[in-house]
Amino acid sequence: MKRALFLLSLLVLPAVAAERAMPGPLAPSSFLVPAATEGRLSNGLEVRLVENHERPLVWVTLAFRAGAFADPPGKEGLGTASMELMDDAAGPYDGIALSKALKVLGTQLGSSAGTDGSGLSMQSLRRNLDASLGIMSTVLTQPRFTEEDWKVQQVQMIADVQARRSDPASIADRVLLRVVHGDSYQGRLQTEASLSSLDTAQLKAWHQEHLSPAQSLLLVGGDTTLAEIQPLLEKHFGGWKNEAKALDFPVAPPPPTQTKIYLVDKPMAAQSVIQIGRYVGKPTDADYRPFVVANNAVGGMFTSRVNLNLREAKGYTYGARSSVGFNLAGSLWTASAPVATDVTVPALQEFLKELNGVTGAGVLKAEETENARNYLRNSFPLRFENPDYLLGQLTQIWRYSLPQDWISRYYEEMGKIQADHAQAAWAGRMEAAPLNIVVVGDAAIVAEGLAGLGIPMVKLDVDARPIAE
Amino acid sequence: MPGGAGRVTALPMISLLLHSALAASPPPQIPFEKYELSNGLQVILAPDNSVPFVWVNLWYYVGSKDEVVGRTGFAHLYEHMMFQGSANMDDDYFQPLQRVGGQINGTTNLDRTNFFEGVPSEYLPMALFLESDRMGWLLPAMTQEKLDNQKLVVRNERRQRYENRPYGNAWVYLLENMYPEGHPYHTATIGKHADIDAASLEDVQAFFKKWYLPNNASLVIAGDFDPAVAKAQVEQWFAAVPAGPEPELTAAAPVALAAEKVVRYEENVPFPKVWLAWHTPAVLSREDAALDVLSSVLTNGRDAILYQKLVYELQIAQDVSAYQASAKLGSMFIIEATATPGHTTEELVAAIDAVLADLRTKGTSKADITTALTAYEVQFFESIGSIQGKANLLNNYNWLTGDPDYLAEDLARYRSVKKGYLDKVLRTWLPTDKRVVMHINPKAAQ
Repeated sequence: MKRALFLLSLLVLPAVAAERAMPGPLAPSSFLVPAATEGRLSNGLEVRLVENHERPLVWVTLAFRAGAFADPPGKEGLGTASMELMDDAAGPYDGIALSKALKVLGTQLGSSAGTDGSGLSMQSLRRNLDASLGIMSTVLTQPRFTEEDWKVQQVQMIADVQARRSDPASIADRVLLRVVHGDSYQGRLQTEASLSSLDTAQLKAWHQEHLSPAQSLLLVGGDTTLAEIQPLLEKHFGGWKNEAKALDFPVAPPPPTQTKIYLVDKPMAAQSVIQIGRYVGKPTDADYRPFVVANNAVGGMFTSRVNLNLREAKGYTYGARSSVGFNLAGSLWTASAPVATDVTVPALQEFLKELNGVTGAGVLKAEETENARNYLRNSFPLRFENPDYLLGQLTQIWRYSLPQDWISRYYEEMGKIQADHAQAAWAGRMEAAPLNIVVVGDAAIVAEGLAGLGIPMVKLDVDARPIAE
Repeated sequence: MPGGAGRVTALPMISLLLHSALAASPPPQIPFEKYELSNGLQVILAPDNSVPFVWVNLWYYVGSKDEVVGRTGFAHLYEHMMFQGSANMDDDYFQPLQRVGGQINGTTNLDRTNFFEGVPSEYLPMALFLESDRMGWLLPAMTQEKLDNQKLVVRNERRQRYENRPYGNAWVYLLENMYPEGHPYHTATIGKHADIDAASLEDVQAFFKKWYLPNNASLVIAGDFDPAVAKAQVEQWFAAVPAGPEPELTAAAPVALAAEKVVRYEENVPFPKVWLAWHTPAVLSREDAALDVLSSVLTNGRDAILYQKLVYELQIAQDVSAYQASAKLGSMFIIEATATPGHTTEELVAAIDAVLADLRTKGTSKADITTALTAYEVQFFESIGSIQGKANLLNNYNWLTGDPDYLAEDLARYRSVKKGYLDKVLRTWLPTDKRVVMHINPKAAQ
């Protein structure tokens, strides 16, 4: 009896266990990258439209070429201030009236600037599209730039600079930008002095000098069609005319000549924030995408070498990663990890060991490269759930002069990338490449250990100014 | 944290809403069907083939409110352990999913824990296999080494997201002051270092057996899938997971403050900032909707009365925002404001009180209520902008009401907010003498 029961369970258990194994995939669904519709208004303004009729919402963005990169020396924050103030009051609307008019429609509208460009964006219920576009056009062509509004805006922008100095993650961001770019491009940070020197006349002049149909792209997404919206766009934006000033675009800063640690003291900090970065070519380089895949394997995804080591093996951090992107000056590679103070030195050692290991004993393996590539390639369709991704990519193609098939070829190009391509792309950029390393943490605890790593170390303050020893 | 598993969501759910002038835009429908397995697992299928992706979204009805004494932070630490491998897939759960293009993560808050994977449609079986394996067979793969590692990771999460960020500790302090010791909401979900460090394998086993049961969970599958195939797959992987004893739900009587409580902290922050907080009725109550509307009337947009007064007229605040933090055992209405350089939190409190006093006397404006309701209509459409958003919406309604199809009633809740009622809610729930006022000031220069 006992024996029989025992046999029975032997028969049953393996059967269950065999069933509980990772199942294979079903038949795959097909996916075609959606295409945008193109249009043009009578004043030459180019239009791109991506339809999506799931919800009665329409998004309209006017993207402008000018951004903070165009701020004159000493006037850092000018473009940002002009764009921030633009949507405060316009035409017949003072600040309160504008806010009320938008709320009655259920419309959201905002303007802002980044380093590489700026934009005016709006989300409207489909039923209120005409009225919403009317207000958007008023904000574009008749911003008031009042003294009262600027006084409030200026105080907030200066406070924002001060706030960044007390946040370790923001300090690390700012200091890395300074050490990478010096006094050029993204190294030119807003300061109390630069913001204090601005006035409404300068903000207004920036608006007039930089925003024009020829230097803009009009992007539409959501519950509409070109046939439906083109007449509305023509009505509200077709009459907009302006000549913009020519822009001087930035170039990549000279690369670092040796690896250095830049230490910023943050007494009593609960962690040390490590940030590493350097330029690595251009997005139009033939092997840019293989490099993206290599970076994904090394530090881009959760299961990357860097994260599996620093987080999942050592527990030094909640997350370690590296990323590669591009801007007007080229392709910027960065890596970061906030780590426990007492393991700052071993965490940085492990970080560098993983980064350097790729061109040493740890070349990229076939399976690892395939995983990193497939993670990016196979998750690509998810990005097209809403129009914003494709519209964003079209803006990048326009802003950064990328090839027109930048997105349509993505799937195919990614599919071809093998380990040797990724390895070569990584080695070509990162082998023995000097790195800028920023550490923001409690110097009383971490300085001595970092100095012992044999890497030259410079102490900086929170604004990246050298501290005399 | 990009790519980070186990994110704690700081706030309880901000309820998903709707509202009044829906005559013009009909409320969206989310087609779904719901059924139950014999082990009690609730299953909700919501097909949407807009992209060839499918989301598996699994909610367990357990949060940090359900932790035992001396184990704060455990519900969230346990969530991390769910990514560390199970009996039939003893590897990091990110591994199999990321290599096929899948997204995976989870969140824990005061009330509940959720897990989700977005995968290319053909990998639905993989996602269901993985979720079922850690629901039924997590413990055979659990080790001290894995637990020790994730304790370090979670303690670093606490440092990164709370301690090493200006005002990052505010939520922790606010809960401690609003809820008495012993109340399920007294300690923030992230927990305390010493408690996280003390967690043992026995704690993992006890939590698994008590809470991680098919009869204490609901599964939404949303996106591009064939319902017949999905049903067969759910049956294949989940039916063998044994049910457990119905867990006794953690309860707590509503908290009433006896008086105003003023607390002060000095931290590494750039500016003085103040929080005013009141206890208010629970998520999905009628008052909860009214307080949502009131928060918009106060601070949504430049014309909103409190924002306009503090930021533009008096220029004593850089920002001010009001919100109803909705939760299952009771909500909080919170107003927070940051001083402009040279001004103090005392000035902010006085100005906020003057606006509230005036509003109590004069009442709210009908026009302000109407525009707030329009904003909620839009916000609702925004919340269903992704398949994952829809999945969470269905699971949220199902968890709170037993019915995923609760949209129309939620809508009615907002539609019922009229001026007379809103004024009464304001006078009843936001008294000056029963609240916490929390000041966080910059530490004196060292």
